[in-house]
Amino acid sequence: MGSMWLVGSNGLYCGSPLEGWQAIGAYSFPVNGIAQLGKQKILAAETGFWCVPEGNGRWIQWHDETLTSVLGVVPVPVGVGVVTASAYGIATGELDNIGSPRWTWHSDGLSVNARYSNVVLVDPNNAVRWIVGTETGVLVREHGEGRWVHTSLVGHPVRALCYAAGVFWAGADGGGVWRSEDGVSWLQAGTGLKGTTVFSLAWTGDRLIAGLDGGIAVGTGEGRWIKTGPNIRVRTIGADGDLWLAGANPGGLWFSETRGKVWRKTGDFISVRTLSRQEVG
Amino acid sequence: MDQAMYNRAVDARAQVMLKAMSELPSGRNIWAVHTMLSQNRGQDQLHDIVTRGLGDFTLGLTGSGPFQILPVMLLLCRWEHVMSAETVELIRRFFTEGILERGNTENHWMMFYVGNLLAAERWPNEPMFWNGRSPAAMQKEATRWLLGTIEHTARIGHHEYDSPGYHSEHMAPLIGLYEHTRDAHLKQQVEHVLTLLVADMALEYYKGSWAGGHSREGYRQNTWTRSGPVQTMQYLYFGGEEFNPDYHLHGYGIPAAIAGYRPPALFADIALDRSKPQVVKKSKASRTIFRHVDRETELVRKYTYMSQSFALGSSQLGIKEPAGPIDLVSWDLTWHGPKHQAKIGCNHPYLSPGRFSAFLNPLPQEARRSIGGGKPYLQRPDRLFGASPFEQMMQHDGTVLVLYRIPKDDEAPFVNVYLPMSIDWHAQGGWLFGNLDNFYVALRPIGKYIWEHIRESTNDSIMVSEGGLIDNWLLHIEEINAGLVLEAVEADAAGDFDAYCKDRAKRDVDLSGWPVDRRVGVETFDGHQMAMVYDGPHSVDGEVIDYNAWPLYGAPGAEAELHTGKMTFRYGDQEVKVDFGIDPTKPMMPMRVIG
Repeated sequence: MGSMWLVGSNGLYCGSPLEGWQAIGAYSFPVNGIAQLGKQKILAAETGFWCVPEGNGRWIQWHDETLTSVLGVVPVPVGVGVVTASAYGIATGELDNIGSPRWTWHSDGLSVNARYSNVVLVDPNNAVRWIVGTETGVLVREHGEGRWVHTSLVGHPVRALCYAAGVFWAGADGGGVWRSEDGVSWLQAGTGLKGTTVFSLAWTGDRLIAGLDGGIAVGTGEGRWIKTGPNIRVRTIGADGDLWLAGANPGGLWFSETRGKVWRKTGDFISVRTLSRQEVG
Repeated sequence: MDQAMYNRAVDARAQVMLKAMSELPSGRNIWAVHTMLSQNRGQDQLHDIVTRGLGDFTLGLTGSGPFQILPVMLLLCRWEHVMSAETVELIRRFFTEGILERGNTENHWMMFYVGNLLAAERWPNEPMFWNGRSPAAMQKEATRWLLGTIEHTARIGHHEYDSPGYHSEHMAPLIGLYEHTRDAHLKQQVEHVLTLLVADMALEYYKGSWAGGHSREGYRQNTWTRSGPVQTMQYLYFGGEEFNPDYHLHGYGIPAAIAGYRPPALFADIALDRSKPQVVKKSKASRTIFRHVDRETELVRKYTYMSQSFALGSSQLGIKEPAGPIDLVSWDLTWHGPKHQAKIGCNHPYLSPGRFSAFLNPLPQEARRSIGGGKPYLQRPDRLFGASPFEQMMQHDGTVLVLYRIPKDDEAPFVNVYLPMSIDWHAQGGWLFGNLDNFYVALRPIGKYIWEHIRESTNDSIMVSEGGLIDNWLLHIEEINAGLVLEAVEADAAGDFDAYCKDRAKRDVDLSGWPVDRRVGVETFDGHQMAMVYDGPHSVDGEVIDYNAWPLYGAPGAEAELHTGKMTFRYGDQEVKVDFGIDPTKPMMPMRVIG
C-alpha cells in the first residue's frame, strides 16, 4: 500500500490513486493549502482558515475577521503553530482569552505586490526564518528579528517553493525554476524553462518535478528540463518515489507510476489546488 | 418636515409596500415573508418557507451563506412569537450544525456578521456554534468587524460606496442590528452609520435615480434610469413619487419596511429639494486592489452637480493599471426619463485579465476565463460599465472633461459613448447637441468617431435580474488618445437652444496640447476655464483642484472632514450632528473584503 494523500479541491479529500478518494466532511470551501499539526489538519481556504480535528469531525474556525483569502500555510514554532500566506500578507496567530486565534500581520509595511503572499517555506536550518513567494518575487522574513530581507529573485510572481538536496528552489511566473543556497541570492536552475510559468515544485528523491502552465518538467536543476505529462495547468505537484501526482486547476488530478512517462487521471476533481502526503503518526 | 410628520409618512409608505409584497409570490421567501406576517397571514406557511430558504444546510454544497444567514435571523428576531417550536429549532440547528460561508464582499460580510451576532445573542449558552467555536467567540469576532467597518465608514467613507445594487444589503442588516442587538454601544454606532448611509442616498438622489459615480452599479444597468434594490429604500425614506411595485418592491427592502427604524427627517427634504443647483463632494474608501500594483489605491473623490433638471457626477478613482473594478461606474449624466433614455456616459471597455486577478484570487492565467465565463458581458467590446485605469476626468458644475490615453497594444483601443435614441441629436462644428426642453446637453468627442447602434439584451442568467433591451446609439471613438467633453445646462440659464449651440460650437475645446502635452482645456457655458493635464493637475480658472483636501462630505447642508468621525447635516432649521467618538490616532481595522 502506497502513501495516502490529502487533496485540496472544493473541499478536502483523502486517498490515493489506487484506493480512490474520500471527502473529509461535507465542506466545499476551496482549499489552497494544507499543513498537518500532529493529528490535526490546518487548511488555508479561499474564505477562511480551518482546523480539521483528529477523527475528521466538524471543522473548527481558525480565522478571525482579518484572515481570509488564505493561500498557504506551514507549521512554525510561533503562536498557534503556523504561519499563513494570504492575499494580504503573512500572519501568525495567538489564542485570545476565550481560545480563538487572533492574527498578527507582518507584511503591512511592504508594497501591495510584495504583501500578496502565494506560498511560504520554513528554512530547515532556522524555524523562524521564512522564505515567502510573493507577487513581486521572493522575500525572506527573519521573524526572530522582525525584519524583511529582499532577495535577488524579483520581478516575477513566485507561487512555488521547496527545499531539497540542500537547496531552496522557487518557481516563477514567466521565469522558470530558480535555486538558492541561502534564500537570498537566486540563480536560474537548468535550461529550457526560460519564460515558462512554474506553479509548483516537488522533489522525487533524486530529481525535481515542476508543475507548469501547460504540463510538467523534470530535471535536476542542472542541464535541460524535460517536459512531460498532459498539457494542464499544474497548480500543485507531489511525489512519493515512483508515484507522481499532478493537480490542475482546471484539469483535475493526474498520476504517474512510471516516473512521468505515462499519466492517468484519477478521481472526479475539476480543480485541484494543493496536495499533501498524509503524515502517519 | 418635522420628525413626527415624517415618521408617519414613512409608516404609511411602509404599509403600502408590505401589503403589496404580501400579495406577490415573491413575498413567500425568508427575506419577504415579514410582509404576510405583518398582515397577520402566513403563519401556517412559515415553516415551509424557512425550510425551503435554508435548504440542506449541512451539505456544504448548496451555498448557505450571507443571503440565508441574515434574513433568517431577522425573521426569527421579529417573529419568534408566532413561530412554531419546530421552526425555531430548525433555525437553531442552522446556526449550530450548518456549513456556512462568509463570502468575499463587504455586503456579504455585513450580512454574515450581523446574522451570526444576533444568533450568538439569541443562543448564548449553546456549547458550540456551526464553526466549532462558542457563541461568545462569534459575538466578539462579529462585534469587532462591525465596529471596525463602521469606523472605516466614519473616517474615510463607505467602502462599497453608493451602490444602487448593494446599498440595501448594507442597510438591511444594519437596520436589523439596530433593532435587535442587545449591545448598547454597537446599537449607537449602528444608528450613526445608518445616518451616513441615508445621507449618501439623499445627497445624490435625483427623482428616483442615484446620480453620480458608484462603486458597483450591477452589470449593464448603468443605462437604466432607476437601478437596484436601493429604490425600495429611496421610496420608503424619501417618498416624493407614487408607489410603483415595479420599482419599489424588492425582498432586500422588506427588512427596512417592516422595521421601526426611522432616519432623521431632514434627509427626505435634502433628497427631494432640487430647487437650487448644488455641488456634492464626497470622499470614499476605494475598492480593494491586492496585487499587480505596488501602491495602495487612493481614496475615491466624488463630485456630483445636482441641478434642477439633471445631475452630472464624476469620480477621481486613483487606480493604476491593471486595476479596473468590474462593475464600477465612474461618471454619468442622469435626468428624469424612461429606462435607457435618460443617461449618457462613456467608457473604455478595459479587457485585461489583470483587472480580475487584481482583486480576486484565481491565478492570473485563469481568472479571465473562470470569471468571464460566468459573466460574458464583462468581456464584450460594447461594454458601458466597469473602470479603466486609462480614464481620467475632471468636472466643474455641469461640465465634465474625460480623457483617455489607451496603450497601443490594448485589446480595446477605443472608447464607447452611450447616447439615448430619444434625443433629436444634431451636429454643429465638432459638437453634438440635444434639446431636452428643460436643459440642453452638448458633447464634444475628442477623436475620430463612428455612429453605431447598440442593441443588447440582458438575457444572461447571472447577476441580471430583469430584462431590459439596450437599443440606442453608441459613439465609437476609435482613438487611443480619446476623450469627451459633456456639458449640461439649464435651458432657463442658457436661453435659446440654437443660440446656445452656436456659442458652444464657437468656443471649441482647446486641443493644442493634446495628445503631445497631455493637456486639454475647455471654457464652460458660463465662462469658467477648465484645464486638465492627463496624469497632471486639474484646474478651474487657473486654480489647481486639491483632491487631497476633499472632505468626507462637502455640500450645502453636509459637512465632515476625513478621519474625524464628526458630521453635520442641515436643512432649513433642522440639523443633525453625528459623532462616532473616533480616536483618529488609532489604526483602523484592516479591511479584507473586495467590495
